[in-house]
Amino acid sequence: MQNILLLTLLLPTLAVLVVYLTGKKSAKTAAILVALIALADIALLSTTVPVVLESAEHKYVESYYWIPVLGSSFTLFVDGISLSMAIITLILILVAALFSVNYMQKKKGLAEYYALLTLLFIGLVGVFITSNLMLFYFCWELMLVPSYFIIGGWGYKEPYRAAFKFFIFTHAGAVFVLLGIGAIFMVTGDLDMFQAQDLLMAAQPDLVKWILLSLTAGFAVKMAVVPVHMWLPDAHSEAPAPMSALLSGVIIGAGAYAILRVSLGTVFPAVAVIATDFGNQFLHGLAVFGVISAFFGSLIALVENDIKRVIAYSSIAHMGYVLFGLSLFPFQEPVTGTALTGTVLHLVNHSVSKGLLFLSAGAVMKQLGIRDIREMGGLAGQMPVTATASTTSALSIGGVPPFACFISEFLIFVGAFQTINNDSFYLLPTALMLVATVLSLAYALRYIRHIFLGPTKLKRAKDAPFFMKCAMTILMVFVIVLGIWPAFFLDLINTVSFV
Amino acid sequence: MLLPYAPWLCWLIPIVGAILTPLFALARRNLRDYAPVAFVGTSVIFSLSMIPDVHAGNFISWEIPWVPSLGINLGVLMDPLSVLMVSVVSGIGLMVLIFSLEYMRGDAGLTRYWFFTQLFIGGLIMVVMAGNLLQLYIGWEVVGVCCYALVTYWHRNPENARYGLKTFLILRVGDLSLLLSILIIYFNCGTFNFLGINIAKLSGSGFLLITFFLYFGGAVAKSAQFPFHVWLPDAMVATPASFNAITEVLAGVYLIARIFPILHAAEGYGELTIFFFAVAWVGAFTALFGASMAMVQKNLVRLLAYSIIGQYAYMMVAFGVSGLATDPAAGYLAGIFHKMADAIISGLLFLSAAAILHRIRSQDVFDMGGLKVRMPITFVCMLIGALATIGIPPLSGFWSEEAIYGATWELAQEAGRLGESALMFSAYGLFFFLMVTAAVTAFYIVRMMGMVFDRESKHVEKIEDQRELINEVSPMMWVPMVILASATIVIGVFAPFIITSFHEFFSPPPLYQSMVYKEVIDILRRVFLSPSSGITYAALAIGGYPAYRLYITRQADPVKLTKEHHFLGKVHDFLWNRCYIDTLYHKVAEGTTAFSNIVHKRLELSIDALNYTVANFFRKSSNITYECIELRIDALNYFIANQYTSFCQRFRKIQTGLLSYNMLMVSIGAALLIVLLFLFGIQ
Repeated sequence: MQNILLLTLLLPTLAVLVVYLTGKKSAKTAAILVALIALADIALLSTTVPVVLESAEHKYVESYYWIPVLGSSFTLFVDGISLSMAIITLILILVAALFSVNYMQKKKGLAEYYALLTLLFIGLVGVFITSNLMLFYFCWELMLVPSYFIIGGWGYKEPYRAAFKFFIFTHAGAVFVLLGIGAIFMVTGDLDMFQAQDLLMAAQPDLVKWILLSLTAGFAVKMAVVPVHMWLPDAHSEAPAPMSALLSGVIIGAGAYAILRVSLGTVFPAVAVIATDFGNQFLHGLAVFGVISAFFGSLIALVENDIKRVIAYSSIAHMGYVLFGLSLFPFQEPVTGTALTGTVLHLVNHSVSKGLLFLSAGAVMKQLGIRDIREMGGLAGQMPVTATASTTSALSIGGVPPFACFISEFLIFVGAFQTINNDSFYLLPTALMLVATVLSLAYALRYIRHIFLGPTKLKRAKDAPFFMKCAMTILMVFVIVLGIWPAFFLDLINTVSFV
Repeated sequence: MLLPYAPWLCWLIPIVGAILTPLFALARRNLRDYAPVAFVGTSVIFSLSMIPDVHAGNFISWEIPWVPSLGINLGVLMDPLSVLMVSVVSGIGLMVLIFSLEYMRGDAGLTRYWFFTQLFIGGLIMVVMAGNLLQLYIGWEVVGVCCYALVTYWHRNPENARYGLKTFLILRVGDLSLLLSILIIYFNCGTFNFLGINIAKLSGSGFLLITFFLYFGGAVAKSAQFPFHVWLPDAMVATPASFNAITEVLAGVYLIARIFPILHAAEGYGELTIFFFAVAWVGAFTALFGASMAMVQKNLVRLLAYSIIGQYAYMMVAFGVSGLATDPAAGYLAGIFHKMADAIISGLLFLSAAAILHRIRSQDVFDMGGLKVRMPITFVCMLIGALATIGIPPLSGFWSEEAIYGATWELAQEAGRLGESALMFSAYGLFFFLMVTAAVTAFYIVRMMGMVFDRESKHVEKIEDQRELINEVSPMMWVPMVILASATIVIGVFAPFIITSFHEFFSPPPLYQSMVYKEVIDILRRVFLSPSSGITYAALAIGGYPAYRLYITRQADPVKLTKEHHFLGKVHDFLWNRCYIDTLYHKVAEGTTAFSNIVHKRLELSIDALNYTVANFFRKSSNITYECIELRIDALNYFIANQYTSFCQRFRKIQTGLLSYNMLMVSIGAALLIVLLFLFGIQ
């Protein structure tokens, strides 16, 4: 089959209307429809896995005739990294749709909700599987608009305030992204990520520096790096739980992916050649921001009392790890990709673990109707499945083997040690990151202790209903399996080389 | 005998058992309860089957790829040390599981209990069999998770929840240290495999000492040595008491035992001497520290926990001393022998304690008393454990402790002969610490036995009045205790022979060089005729006699004594408050939280406020723009519109709407038109 990737995008696009119409009749059917589409997409994408693993270029590309004036065609492609991200995104969408069946029950306008979810789905998958910057930007915005309406329409206390904040922040970021993309087009006359990479070498050094900074700043907002993280705690905590899982699992991960793919993949090689010193400083800067984010997020997660804000700040902390991992981008000799592999793997593992943590938090909130963790306690006995899911994911977030996040954090640290050999600057950031892992276990344990352990405070709490349990169990299996047997994603990611 | 799969199966089987437990629970309750015993029993068979293999000189280091793209392997290393440890772990594990069948019967969360105990045993065996450092680390962490799960097993108790957090967090700090050292080793030697550790490369990069201190940090946290000892007593109080019996073998001491031969094989690295000094002194200090805190405990489990800390410390001393001596055999083997012997002794003590808790339903020693008559089998078992802990011949503890004292004494002698005065004083210092510890140990063990078994207590009488008679526990519980007690006696009685075969057992390469004791008579002479043993007996008497008078014959009231003697009271308070070290840690934790609060309030909230300020600024400026410009322009628009309207209004008067006027105007207009045409229209 020649059009796998196009089909992957076309399927949800066509489905939006179907989902909407089905949703008018029965919300449950619509949810299952969304899940099925995600499943179909996973099946479609997995047909490209052998191509990616075995072909010489480790890539699968489809190209279509599009706006020729813009000097590029409509290119869809997958390589190891984008395939991993796309697959994990689809898994999270599947789980989020299943979770919504019970979670969104009795809410109004569910037809619109599922239609928006499908729309979001196009943007999310599209971001990962295109190499055309124009299309990339299009999908980037397509992630934003449905999320705005979902947060605003089905959120908690003051949903539109949070949604508006989210929109303003990330849209401001998107402006910088657009600026950068425009500048790339101006300089190279090409909008393809891979072709532009070589053409940028010929550009003026100063301009390329600014392109790099502008793009990175724009993506960093989506990634919620301190100090442009302010939208995240509000948006994550006000959004309905399945949306939080997607936001925290995939959307901020997309920011990291974009930094890796566009800032570091397309622009950085040129910078490294024509302005090596600046390139170094830039990476060091990323490391510093990474450390700041990791500490800041962990420290605040340690004192927050709102169940979802704790997790939201932990997302900031984990994006700190990812940013630190990205800062180890291998352009120095001798090149080893361990840090990069670890970072992308961490995006995957963090998606699954954080998605699970948000879903289980959602289950707790749904069943209890409160969100202050100090008012909870002793739920382990009453909600065993939710408690197991939370503990598994919280320990994974805390970096405890054999759960998923350990192996990727470990690889990031292995990469950091390799980099220290070449560049002693990384000594202090690495040491600080190691300390931050203790803090992350501390807030994870505090979270578990407050909610699930101790004396029972709420007498009538019951465990989550069927579909929520299903969703959590699926992710729980992933958290454990990815921790014990990370080889599938590792092999995929390892096929990619940036140098 | 069951090679080559035994090294894998012995840890995979309990893990598979753990995974199957929830399924069994769905099927049948009895299946769930008895299956773990079968799984761990099979594991015991595989473990024991390896002993003849190793004895015959077989040695296996077998790795299979796990994450092939990164060169990370999963492997097993079968050598005398690992096989010995595996046998002890699985054996005691089996005893604990059998004991738990009765002890935990009817508990609501039993599926969880079986799951985590099996996973714990499997994980621990994996640690012991691990062929590389990374696998060892992962095994430790799995064990740590199980520990956390079991500490919070009775999770409704808020104390347990707190202890769980404390345990896991402190272990985490140690793990981090261990992980760092593993990473440094990996980068300098290019492998995680034990056999690939290359001291020369580490020394060349200048990381040698740092690496092994970090490694030692991991061992210190896991084996609850000073200053990371704080988690163990609390964790043990919280876990189901039967489970504690197996925690003894969780000792991070194994880490040192594993790496010791490699360190010692590399000669000529002076900096390692510092490492061994540190190991020995941390051990000696912790031994005294743990024992002295055991003196004042009122909680039976906590008392035994402090006792265990002291026993771990003995092993540390043994390894340290062994590293400092020219011939490492004596100290090293003493350490390993003590590890094996004490694992059994502590297992015995904890099972007996659990049996007592099972009847009394309280951990407070003041609630116990008079159990000698009521629970005779438990009494005898615990007595054997207690005497072995003190080191009364011919029980196993006597031989192992005596071997450690002897090794220390000989180190001092040897250093004296070689004229290394610093080492000599240090060794005598270590010996002195050990002797004081021996005295203190004798004191608290006698106190414990007196308090638990001898005295009459009101609590016991109350229970008997109100509920039921307190009697011996069922055979399901006492049989494991009796097995462990007999093991203690048998090992003790045949110790000289066991020690010689033990030394032969440990001789094969590649991890061990020649470390062999020749004859039984050598050992006997060494143990009974050395000056160190004389001093030890004196120390035991010094410690044991006051306790005997205070707690068994009760010639003085200890409570009154501490009140009357100001100094004793102070000491008691100091020890009771755990030397204020826990307080210190709490202060650190509180400090972190306070700091986070400050960051939250000052930084996070103010950044957020700034955002809102910016937002408000835009809103205000929009308002101003709206009011000043937009409204003005709009006003202008309206002005124009209004002017136009009013202008038009003037003409409105003409539009009266009366037909006659209109027609009049039309006719006037028509007339005007005609006049104009006449005037100008004619050419």
